[in-house]
Amino acid sequence: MVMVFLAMLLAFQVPGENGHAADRNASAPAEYQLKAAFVYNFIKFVEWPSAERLAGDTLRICLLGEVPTAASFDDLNGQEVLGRRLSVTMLKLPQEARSCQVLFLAATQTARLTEVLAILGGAPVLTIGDTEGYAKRGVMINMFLENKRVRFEINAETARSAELRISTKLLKLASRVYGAVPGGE
Amino acid sequence: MNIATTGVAVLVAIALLFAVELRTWKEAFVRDIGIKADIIGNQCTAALTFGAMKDAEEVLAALREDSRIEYATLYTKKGGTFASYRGRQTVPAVPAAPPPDGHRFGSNHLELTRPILLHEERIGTISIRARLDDIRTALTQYSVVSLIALFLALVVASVLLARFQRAVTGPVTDLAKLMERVSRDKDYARRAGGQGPEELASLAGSFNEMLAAIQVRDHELARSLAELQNANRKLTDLDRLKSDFISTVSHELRTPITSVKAFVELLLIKPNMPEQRKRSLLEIVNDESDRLTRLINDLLELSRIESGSMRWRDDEVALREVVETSIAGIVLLAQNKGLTIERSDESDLPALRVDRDRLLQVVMNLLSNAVKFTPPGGRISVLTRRTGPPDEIEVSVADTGPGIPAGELQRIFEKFHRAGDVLTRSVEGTGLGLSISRQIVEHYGGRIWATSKEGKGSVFTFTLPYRALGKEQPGISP
Repeated sequence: MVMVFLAMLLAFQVPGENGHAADRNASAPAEYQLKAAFVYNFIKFVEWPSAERLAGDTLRICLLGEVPTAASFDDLNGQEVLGRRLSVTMLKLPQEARSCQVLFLAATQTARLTEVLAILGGAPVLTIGDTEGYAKRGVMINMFLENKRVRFEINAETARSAELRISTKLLKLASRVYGAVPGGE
Repeated sequence: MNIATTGVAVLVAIALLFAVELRTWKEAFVRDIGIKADIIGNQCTAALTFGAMKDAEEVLAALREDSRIEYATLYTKKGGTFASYRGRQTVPAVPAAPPPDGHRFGSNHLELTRPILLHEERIGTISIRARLDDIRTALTQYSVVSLIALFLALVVASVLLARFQRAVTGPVTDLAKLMERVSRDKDYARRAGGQGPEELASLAGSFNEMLAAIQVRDHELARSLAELQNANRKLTDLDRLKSDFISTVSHELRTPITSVKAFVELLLIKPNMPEQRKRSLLEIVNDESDRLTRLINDLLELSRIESGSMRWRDDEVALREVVETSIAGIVLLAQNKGLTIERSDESDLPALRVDRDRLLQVVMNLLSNAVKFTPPGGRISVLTRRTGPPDEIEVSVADTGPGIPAGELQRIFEKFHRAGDVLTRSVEGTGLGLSISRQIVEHYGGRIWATSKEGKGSVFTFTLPYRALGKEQPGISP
């Protein structure tokens, strides 16, 4: 946890020598450490349905697809948030995702994203991505880089249909919100 | 005095209230600012978490609505400044590091620092500094209003007190003045007015009762004093009378004794004086002895009557017979002096039940006095008649003597008082006759008196009630 915050504090601004169009591979380690920290923090502003909360004291974070330096997420393994222990798992099949609380969809899933989301079918799984267009297509939180800073957009509609409550504070910070309901969550 | 005490008391009360109010206001202020800090902090949790300074500043900017807030600053968990809001007015510099949690009052500001929690985990700090202008203004207003209220209350209290004092002190002062006047003038006829409150009216009533009691006592005292003085005067008079009586009696007794002794000595010294001369001297001695005997008899009789040891031999007595006997006893003496005695009797006078000798004594006394004091050629008139009511028999003896001065008319009935001391020397008599007569007449319930015109003569009159002393009611006398 200390490490995560350190990362957060050090790297609100993504370090990168290559200017505006940062090469993903070049800056991969720092970028993904930061994104992992973001995922960790997103959890704090999301409320799962009560049945899900009673499921156990482990909160599963699952990764689907090829995540560059997936080891960044390993740092989250064993950490505690909202009184639940985090457990990071690499998935092979999208069918396995229904038992996760958080599902990180890598850029490699672009082709079959619709299929994966259909498989989830409204299960209370917080879907997170970092690929352009993901939010619009149904991923709940989608991170992107802007001026070397990590920003995110939110698809409130899919979150709502999955019975996940995303805090208004988080919604306010989002660059863009899809399916926002005026005057309420 | 009372007003000042009340004023101080109220002032202390106001100061206490003021302190309590100040404390309450401060607590409310801390609560108010604390709630604001908590709300703002809570709104900034996501911004703090994701390092969104701009968003945090937007949230902080909402504090613009509260003009009291000078600045508000968010600090990260590490203590670095994350975002700030600065009020429009000139404000002190924002501290670089977060102050300790809690609140502190400055001279004119409150500094309040609270932790920012997310899921019970501290993620930062918020510190707000706010001006106390409102409290100052409110307290100033409070003070001004309190002082005005105090002033007004004191004014009203003064007016009421003055009125109350008039209602109470007025009658009391009046009463005190009255008491002073009464004790100074000893005028117990004054009375207090009954106005004022009930208690004072009752006090005035009691005072009046007291005055009335004193007044009555005063009157009684004055009357008793007068009576005592009167009695004392009478006693003094009696005492003087007694002294006079004794000296008079001594004198009266000495005179005949002196002449008896003188003539007897003369007879002893000159045994061979002519027989005729001797005889005339012995006759004088005899006369003087008789006079002495008479005097002593009179004194004894008077003493008996006065002491009540006289024996009255009451019987039926015809007044006419008594008057005739009296005149017969004196007529020779009157003729020698060239006096005429007239009688005028009413017929059918009722009989009296008295001691005949005593009645005779009274009539004789009046007649012999008349003869004694009437110069030769004079006339004496004796009148008996019935008068009433009440039914009385009246006997009067009038003479043509020198008369008696008005001042002497009463005193002649006293012992040894005669019609003028000048006359005493030239007229014989014991001086007890009228006194004895009065005692006798008064014993039978009658009256005796004299009237006189100087130079024209005197009239001595006595009355006896015949109804009481007549046949009809025998045995009324002892």
